Amino acid sequence: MQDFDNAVHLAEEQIRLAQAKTEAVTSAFAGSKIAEAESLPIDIENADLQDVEAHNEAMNANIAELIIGLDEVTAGFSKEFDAMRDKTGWETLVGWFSSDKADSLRAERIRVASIDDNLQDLIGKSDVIVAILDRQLTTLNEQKVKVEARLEQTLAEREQAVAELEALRAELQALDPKIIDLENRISMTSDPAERTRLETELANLNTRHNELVQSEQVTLARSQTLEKYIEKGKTWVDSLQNQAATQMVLINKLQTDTKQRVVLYDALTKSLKTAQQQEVAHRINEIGSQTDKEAQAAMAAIGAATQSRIADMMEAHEDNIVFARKVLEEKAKADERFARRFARVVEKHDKNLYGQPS
Amino acid sequence: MPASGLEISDSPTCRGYFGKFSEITRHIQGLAAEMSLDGSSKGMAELEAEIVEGYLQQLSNTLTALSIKYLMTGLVGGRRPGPLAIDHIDSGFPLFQEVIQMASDAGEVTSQLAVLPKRDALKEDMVEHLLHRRSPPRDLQLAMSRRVYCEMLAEVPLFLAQNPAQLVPLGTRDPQTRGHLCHWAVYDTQRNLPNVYLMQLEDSGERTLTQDQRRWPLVAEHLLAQSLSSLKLLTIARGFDKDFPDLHPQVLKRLHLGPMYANKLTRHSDIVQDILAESDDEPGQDWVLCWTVETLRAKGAEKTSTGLFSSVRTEVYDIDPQAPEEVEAGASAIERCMILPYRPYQRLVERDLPQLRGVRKYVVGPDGEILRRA
Repeated sequence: MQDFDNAVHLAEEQIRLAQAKTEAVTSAFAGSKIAEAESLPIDIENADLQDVEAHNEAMNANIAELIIGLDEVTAGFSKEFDAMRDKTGWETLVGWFSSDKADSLRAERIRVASIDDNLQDLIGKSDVIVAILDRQLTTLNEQKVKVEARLEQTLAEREQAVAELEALRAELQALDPKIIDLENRISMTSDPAERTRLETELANLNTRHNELVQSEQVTLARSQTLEKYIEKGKTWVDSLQNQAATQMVLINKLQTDTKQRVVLYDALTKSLKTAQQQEVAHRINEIGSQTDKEAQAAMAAIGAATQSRIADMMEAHEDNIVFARKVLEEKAKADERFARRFARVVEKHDKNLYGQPS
Repeated sequence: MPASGLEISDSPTCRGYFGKFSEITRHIQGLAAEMSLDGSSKGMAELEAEIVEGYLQQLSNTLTALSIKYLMTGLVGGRRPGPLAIDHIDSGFPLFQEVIQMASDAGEVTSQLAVLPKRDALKEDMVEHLLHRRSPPRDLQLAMSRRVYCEMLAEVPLFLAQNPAQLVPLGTRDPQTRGHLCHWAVYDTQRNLPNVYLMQLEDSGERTLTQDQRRWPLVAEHLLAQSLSSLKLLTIARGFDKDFPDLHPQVLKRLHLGPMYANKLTRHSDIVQDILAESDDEPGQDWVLCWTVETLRAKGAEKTSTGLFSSVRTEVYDIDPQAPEEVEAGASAIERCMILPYRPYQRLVERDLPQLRGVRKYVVGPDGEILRRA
């Protein structure tokens, strides 16, 4: 069970790293309390997001391996089952001299056979993985709430910025006719005193105009920054949501698997014991192998479920701006890789290539 | 095979279910003596009653712990505490996974208690929440239920999936042999019911079993591994007799507690369904708990030769070949009992069902007293 402990340790380490990375991005979004455009982090570049995505991909693949690693425990079951069905080497040897003695040895062995410790072990290990996933899920949800709250605030700010921009533009438009009018009057006037007065007025208006143009640019820049921030924030929320969905799929699958395994293996042992002792005919071999096949098919389904979830999200954000969509597309690709990774893990396991370099 | 059972995910049903159980366990506590009644001697009957009562108390603790674990089911969002799974068809008791999970939870309890907030802190937070937010503090209630659940696991004796064998030395009739009463219990995974086993055995070994560090662990392991409801008592006793030549099982008893029928919760035959539905108009009257005691007695022993100069004592058990049910079950006697409130009992008497004539009935009277009707 050294392997399992190592794998758990590795997964925990990776989750810690993932959480640190995720938190770094989240706090870049939601960390700063000052609601000013200047303080907004515009340096959350694709690279950061991709880094987190890539890490999560590796992490989830590891967790998938961990889940399949439970088979190590279940391998213990099949050994027990085989032992109950077959004779041991010693019993076979004894059987050469006395088949009665061999049967009685075997009967004695079956009477003390029990898989309850293995079952308890399986449940314990499954609980350990679920607890890890659960903690990760909680963190993701907390971060999502944080980013969403900040996003809402930013949306309000952007609305305000747009309103300001419109007011500025309206004032600018109102200034234009005044300036033209003044310029006309200056060209027509011949009185120097009047001319000087009008020119002063025009200069003032022009100053005002320049001021307005300048603040229009500032407000526009601010609005654009906010817009960019919002797009990235949305992408990040989606990413968090997607990660949370993956965790939930994994938790659900793991719990269902464990539940089914416990029921099946328990029933299998008990019917074996009863059959051996009370000579009731049972076709047990089929039950055993069928279980494993089902478990493997179920693992493959995890990948598919994650994939369809991402497809849903893509559709929901159909009208997002090009930039955001591009990132989402990148993400979908990453997720596809992630799903493929799952498939590879399953395949590796199916072919018993486990532990060999791929 | 009860793969999934019924999942209870809404709060009123879940609390109602455990409420019913706590009422039933309260009534059956006093019936321990009836469940293990042994004709051989008064002392033995009292000893067995005491043991059975202990297991009933543990069972009641386990059900209470489960009720606390699932206290907030349906009231809080998120995955926890999740739905409670019961076997609503055959037993009416929680699925055995719940009991196995509890053993697993018990292993984690020390680390959990270290992390979970203390009761006082939670209570203060609740008051704070109530005063400021004016809404039920669901999350705090959930944390409290987990705290109390973990405390229960740590402090209270529970009926777990496997309750290891214990040994009580008995007085001896014969100076060559010593008597023991061995008892253990399991939560039967095939039928989702608690099983209590009692075995009187004679010990002709050199050291008494209570002090034998070699034989006793083997005996305890053997007994737990053989505790399947699908095995006949005769199979268990014979296997034990064979594997331990100097231990001689004299009496082996198995108590199957359950099934429990509760109106609207469990699925059962039409007759029970009708009777419980008719008793629905008064609260607390719509349940039935059955139990069965199987007994296997030795009627003598014979010497079986195992070689030229050695022989071993093999017990011969008393099974009436004329009684088909006992032969089928591999037991000397099977006694079925049920306990139910007076209203469904009256309905039962009105119908005069022939299949229930052999069942001993205990009736809970209007004031909670228990009346016995043969």
